Amino acid sequence: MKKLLQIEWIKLWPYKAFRILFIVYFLLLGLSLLIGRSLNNGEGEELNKLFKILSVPNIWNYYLFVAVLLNIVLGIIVIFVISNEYSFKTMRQNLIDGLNRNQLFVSKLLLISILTFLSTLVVYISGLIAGKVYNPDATFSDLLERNVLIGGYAIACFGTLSMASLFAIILKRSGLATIVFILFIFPLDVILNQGLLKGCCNDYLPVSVLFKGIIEWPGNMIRSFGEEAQTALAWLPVTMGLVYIGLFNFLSWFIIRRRDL
Amino acid sequence: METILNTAALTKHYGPITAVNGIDLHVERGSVYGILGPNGSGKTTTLGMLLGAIHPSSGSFSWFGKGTGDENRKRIGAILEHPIFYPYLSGAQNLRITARIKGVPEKDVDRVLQIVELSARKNSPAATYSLGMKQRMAIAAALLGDPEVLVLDEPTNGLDPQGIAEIRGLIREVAASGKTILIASHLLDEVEKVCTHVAVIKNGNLLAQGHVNEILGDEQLLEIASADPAGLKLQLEQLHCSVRSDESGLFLVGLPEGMDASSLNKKLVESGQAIHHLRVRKKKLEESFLEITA
Ligand SMILES: Nc1ncnc2c1ncn2[C@@H]1O[C@H](COP(=O)(O)OP(=O)(O)OP(=O)(O)O)[C@@H](O)[C@H]1O
Ligand SMILES: [Mg+2]
Repeated sequence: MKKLLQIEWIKLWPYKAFRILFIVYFLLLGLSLLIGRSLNNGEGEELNKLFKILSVPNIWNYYLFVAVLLNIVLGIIVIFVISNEYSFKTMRQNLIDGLNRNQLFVSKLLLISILTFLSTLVVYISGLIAGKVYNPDATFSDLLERNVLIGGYAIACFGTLSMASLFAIILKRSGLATIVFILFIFPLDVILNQGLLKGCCNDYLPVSVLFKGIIEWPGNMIRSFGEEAQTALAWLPVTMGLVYIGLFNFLSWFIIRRRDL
Repeated sequence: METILNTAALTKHYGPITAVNGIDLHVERGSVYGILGPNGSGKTTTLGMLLGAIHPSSGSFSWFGKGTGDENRKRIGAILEHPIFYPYLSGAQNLRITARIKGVPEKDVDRVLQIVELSARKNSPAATYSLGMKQRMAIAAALLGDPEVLVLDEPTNGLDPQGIAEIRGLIREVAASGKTILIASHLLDEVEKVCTHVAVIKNGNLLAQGHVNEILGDEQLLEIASADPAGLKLQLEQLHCSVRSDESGLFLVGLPEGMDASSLNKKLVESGQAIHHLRVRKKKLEESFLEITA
């Protein structure tokens, strides 16, 4: 385990594209907090004052919504890192050098676990800081309200990265896997849902669950001028999220076990 | 002799293609074992199966008498098909990853870099190496941890004559230290020069295996048959002839020094064996070889 971590670290840290994408991801997160502050509506009134999206605890609903969307960027990072292992054939060489197939899988699992952990940590801390900066009167216990949503975010993030990892493992090529990943997140899921399934399974499809179900979109909150917002996690999307995490990772493991390298 | 590797009816199908067809290899400790065959004959597929990268369709193999376990590979240094690196990492960083995987101390990286004379370029990104440097770097990686066995797939592919000579020199040095080496090659000349043993494969079939001199040497062979095959075999052995194959009583026989077909015939008749078939023929394999290397 420690060995696999060290190996991933030696591989990834010197990888420029990895660092750049990672920095871009964090910049986008930070930017979302600044934009939320500075957006004005037609009359020059601050949207924030109107809709209270940056007031505590509403800030969590807004910020976690953005963070969930930005999981797409993290997913693309994961796709690049994993499909590289196929196109460089280093996955095969790692195996030949002595890793077994379970270890190959675990090292990918470690990668997405660590990205999830880092992202959750950064989102949480920056959310706390922003909450305090934008609302100097907020007490510590105000800031801790709705923090259960952070757990939901972690599940959504891990699920999205598990999905990205599965696509990279199936398709092996970064360009193709990225396109499929993005298509799947935007139109495909909707087409599947509305067209094929006649909207029956909105709550069960992976993209709906991971991007909308666990952390709900703050539309309601904005329409009600900050009055109505998600305050807790719903059991169905959380359960479905965990089911998908299990499913995606099982499939990844299965493919790595079974397929020739 | 201790057996390092055994395979039994090792087979790989790709859809309708049979890349490797029931191959039985037998590699002893300390030998330099060449797998010789033309392009597409199944060399890489065979090594890929032995190295765990490709799942055999059927058949089995065993390293060190311990089966197919993943742990075996830590005792093997291997290159399959091409030198493989993280292109953006330096040679030294790549070797460090291999060392971690093999559980070898990092200081071994400097040792192997010196062996392949790449210490000066160890900090350049692997992507910037020439093909020859990549081959040598891959051999360095294979040498990490001083493994008992080296598996090299076409180690001189794409190199200029000097590069080829260097790599072969390196292989001989390693062999001299008592290591077992498995080399896949499509070059008869290469196998003759560096190998002690050879297996010849074509279209996934094993045509022959054995000592290089036996298989690639140009001694004469005799086909002999008599009404009493068991007695004939005994006689042949007493006369120090080597019986290469026995096709239902038709023996293929190599002669000892100083004996030729007529003197053998005479001796056999004297000892009461009635020979009803005697034919001098060129080595069976040489014929297939001409085909193979054409
Ligand atoms: N992944 C694959 N899918 C389908 N066929 C394959 C695959 N890998 C190899 N083959 C086929 O198996 C046969 C053996 O290929 P292999 O690469 O083992 O040959 P080789 O002896 O290493 O040849 P070379 O000297 O060109 O390296 C070939 O006919 C090849 O086309
Ligand atoms: Mg090959």
